Amino acid sequence: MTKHKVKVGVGDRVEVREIDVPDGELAPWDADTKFRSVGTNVPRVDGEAKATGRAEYTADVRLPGMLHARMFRAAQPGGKLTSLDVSAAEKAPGVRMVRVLAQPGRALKMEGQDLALVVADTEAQAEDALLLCKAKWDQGPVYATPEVAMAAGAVSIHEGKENNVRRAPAGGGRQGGDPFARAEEAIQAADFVIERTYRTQVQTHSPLEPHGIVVRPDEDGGITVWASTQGTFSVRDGFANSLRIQQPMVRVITEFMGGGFGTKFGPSSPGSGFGVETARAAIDLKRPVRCMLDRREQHLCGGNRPSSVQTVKLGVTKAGKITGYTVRMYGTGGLAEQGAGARNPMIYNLGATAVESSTVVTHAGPQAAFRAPGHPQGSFALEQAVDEAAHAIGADPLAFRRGIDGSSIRAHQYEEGAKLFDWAAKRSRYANQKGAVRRGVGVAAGIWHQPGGSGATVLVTVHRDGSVEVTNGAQDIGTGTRTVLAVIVAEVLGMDPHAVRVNLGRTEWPFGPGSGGSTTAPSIGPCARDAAEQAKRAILGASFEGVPTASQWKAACRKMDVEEQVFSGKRSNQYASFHNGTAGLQFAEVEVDTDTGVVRVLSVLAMQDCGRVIDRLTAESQVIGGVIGGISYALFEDRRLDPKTGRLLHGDLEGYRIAGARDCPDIRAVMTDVSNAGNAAGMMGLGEAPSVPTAGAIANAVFHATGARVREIPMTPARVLAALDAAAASKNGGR
Amino acid sequence: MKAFRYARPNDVASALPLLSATQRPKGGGFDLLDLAKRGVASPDMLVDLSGLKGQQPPMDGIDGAGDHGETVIGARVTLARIEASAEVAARCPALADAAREAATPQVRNAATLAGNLLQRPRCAYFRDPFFTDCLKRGGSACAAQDGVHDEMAVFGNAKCCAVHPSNLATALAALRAEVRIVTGIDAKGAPKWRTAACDEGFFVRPEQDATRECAVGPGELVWDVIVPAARASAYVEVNHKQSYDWAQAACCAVLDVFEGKIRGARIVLGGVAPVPWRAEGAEKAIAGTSGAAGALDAAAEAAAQGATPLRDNAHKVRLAKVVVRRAIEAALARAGR
Repeated sequence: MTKHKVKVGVGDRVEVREIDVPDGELAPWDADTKFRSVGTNVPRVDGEAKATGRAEYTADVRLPGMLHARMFRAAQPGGKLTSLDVSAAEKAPGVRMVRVLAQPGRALKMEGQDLALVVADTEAQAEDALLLCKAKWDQGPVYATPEVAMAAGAVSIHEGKENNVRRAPAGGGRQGGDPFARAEEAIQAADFVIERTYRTQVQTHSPLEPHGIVVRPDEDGGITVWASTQGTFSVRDGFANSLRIQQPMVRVITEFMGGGFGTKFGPSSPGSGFGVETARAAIDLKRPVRCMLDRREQHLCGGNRPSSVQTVKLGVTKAGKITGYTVRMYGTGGLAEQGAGARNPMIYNLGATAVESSTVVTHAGPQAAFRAPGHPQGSFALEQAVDEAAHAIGADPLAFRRGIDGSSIRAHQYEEGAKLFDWAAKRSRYANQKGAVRRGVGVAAGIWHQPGGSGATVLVTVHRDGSVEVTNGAQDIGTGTRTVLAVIVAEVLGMDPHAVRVNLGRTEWPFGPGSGGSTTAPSIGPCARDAAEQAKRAILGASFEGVPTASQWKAACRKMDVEEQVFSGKRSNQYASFHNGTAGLQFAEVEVDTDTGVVRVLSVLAMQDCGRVIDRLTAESQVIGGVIGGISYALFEDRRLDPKTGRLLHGDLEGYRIAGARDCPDIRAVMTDVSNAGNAAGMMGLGEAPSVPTAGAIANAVFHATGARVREIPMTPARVLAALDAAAASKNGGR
Repeated sequence: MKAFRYARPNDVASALPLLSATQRPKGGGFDLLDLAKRGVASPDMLVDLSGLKGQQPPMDGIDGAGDHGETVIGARVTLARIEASAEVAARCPALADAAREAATPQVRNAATLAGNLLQRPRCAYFRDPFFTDCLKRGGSACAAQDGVHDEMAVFGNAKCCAVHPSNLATALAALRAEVRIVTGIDAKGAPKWRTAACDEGFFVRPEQDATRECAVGPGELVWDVIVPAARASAYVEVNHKQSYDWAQAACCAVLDVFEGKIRGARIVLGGVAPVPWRAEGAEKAIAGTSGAAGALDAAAEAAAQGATPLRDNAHKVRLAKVVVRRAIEAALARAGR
């Protein structure tokens, strides 16, 4: 360890701290560092390729001799397969192979369960052959909702289990004993006790590009895989294990990727083994085989965010202190036996807390990690409960939050955000509206924690002509990782970021992490700085100060005694930093048509921290995307099953509503620059955080506009009208 | 999707003999291809109408030179053109409203008038061939009645509760438009015609025949629509989403206003019944008034009479009342200009 004096902090809350930096690590960028490129608006280095269609996604890959695979899937859950006849499909035109994947007697647990893989010369032929596959089954009971699956007498969906409820160990019991009893005592000691139930729906990831893969068997016994994935190396390792091939013999390529949001890891998808089966077919047929899921399959077998029913109880004092907070909740992530626990309570000082959560198994595709797993649903309940507490004591919701929030970064965001959003003026302007269409404002906080970590290697290659490449095997899932690496290297070497060539998305290159939990940029960004600083020292000499001019750099490169030099950059695990998490705060302004129950979001201000901002444009874009996702979650998205048959009702993006252009308000993303240390670039992950608080902020704004609490999402006209009626009834009831 | 043949005839005389229950006319193709991809429709042949020439009036024209102020709009005219047409805006603005509220700009640029009228319902059960017993497939049970039905019909829903999906249908029914249909080709090679009224006969209730929504035979071709002039007309809808969504409830009001008094009204609801749903009670309630708040309330209440909401869609009755008020108000505003 080496001690470094580092200036850290946020806004005018900056201080010098002496921190221990692990040996081999650079002194971190800090508040005094002067930047040329870092923190500026750099357009995406791959923007033109994407906008013109030149960028090749997995779905675009066409190889000579390539065949097409489609999966024959169970039509509904709740039965046992009695027969599966694929003989007609095998004889269909163009069909090369039908591989049966389920034998009679197999329990059918979800619509979309794998039954047989069909491989044909064209995708259309494969799809035609699916229509010739015939399954028969004995229909048993269908548990499409957690309430039905939990009811007395419901039999276990998974074999060998007593029932469909999986209770997680109770949380909040740090001091031993019964945390609920302790929290209840603290709650009862308060001036007001509030108990409410909040409900959130099942949401599917709905990436524009569905799960998909192209597998080419190679002559050396290995395979080359084009995969729409968030983790090139997770695909490699998954195939190496399932096919018993050495890791380096599985070559995975993800040049461009059409969205994943947490569900695209490994060779297949959460509810299907299509990827591994496609690879097996390719190896057996000695031909490349492509398999892309269609939209219905994506909704069925592409993972989802579990639902939740959260009953929150809290005590609040007249002075604005929350004394205790308990949550009893359940939810369902389909066949998954865990993962429905909503992240609630978080963020605030809530006194004595206790949490009890259960995941209920239902007849639907399994859940998967989804942008801030557990957080948007937990935040929806928490942020409304906190708002209800503020309302109970007549406090301004923002001032109330400031009183129970210990984050120094959010302290800055409350101040700045209230000014930028004009919070106080809007609060009073919308206080006494009379018309049918009313406006309101709401606020909610968000957190995430991802500083990245060690394990990856980033290469910087310097060529004799002065050109520079930066290389890592991880993927850019569309968030701007390519541009972030280019900016960091350009910063160190005094280049234009668009002149840096970035190579990403091949497992033949050095390891990089999967893009889950917001890990990628903070894990490989600091490595890129390390490699670039090595290159600068080696080529310009250790005594060179500052950044080179273009001609200095070219002249130095021409003197290299090898054709190119490769520098290998690494980072340690996170060391001491100013702040351990990422802080966010969102303000929403809505308009509610109280005649129709239609809610429109007029504007959102998102204050968001991600440590050091590398490229402001891609960072803001990430925040805006998170807000749009949050609006869509709050108002529209809902994966609905027919209760009787378990059949997905909307296998498209039409009935499954997603926010469209006219549903996207004026969104302002303001990055809170935090000098953080902790790693060479001071970076924190940004992917998940901005999607967390949006739904709660919108719900709070609806309450401000109308006096009605909508405690269930999506906020359909029917639910909003019912909430308005309930609010009117309680007013008339004199309560 | 089942493979199909494709034909692009040059004139109506060669197109008509190609049409049958399994050889379907293609305009924009939006709904037909979507149904085919889902396995709900399985045409053997698509007869592309984009090449038809020589017949007058043209299938892709908007002609506002009618003797009585009527506008003739060809079946192949896109929704975008209806939305942007100065003639439509001047003579029957409710139709422009209805076109503007449909789908997305991209869809409206290619989707046609006839395609919009003839599109099948968006009912999730109908659009999933798994539900083989659906009444619209000639089956005997409606899975939506005790399934998920919060966006389904609240009027005329005893048998089938799928709502009619077309915005333009609602407007055309209120405007008392007539659909001209080519029924066949005579010995001289000339088209034979019939006319069906949008407020009587063109739309088919489930009780009459649940397997279709419009009275157009398998060998027939919708050619154009004659829309009477109605300046004091407006179409209003309530959507959950603002982009690309079907109406939760819609209303077209066509008023006969003279010296500030509403002498008569045609009020038709959309998105709440299997066919465009005429609200005669509302028409009577608003007639003879000047459209003041009390009269609007009475019309809205009258429009809700006879509603038979299902377990989970009572809110749609309320939305129907709201759109009745708003449509009358919007039409009145146009009468004043």
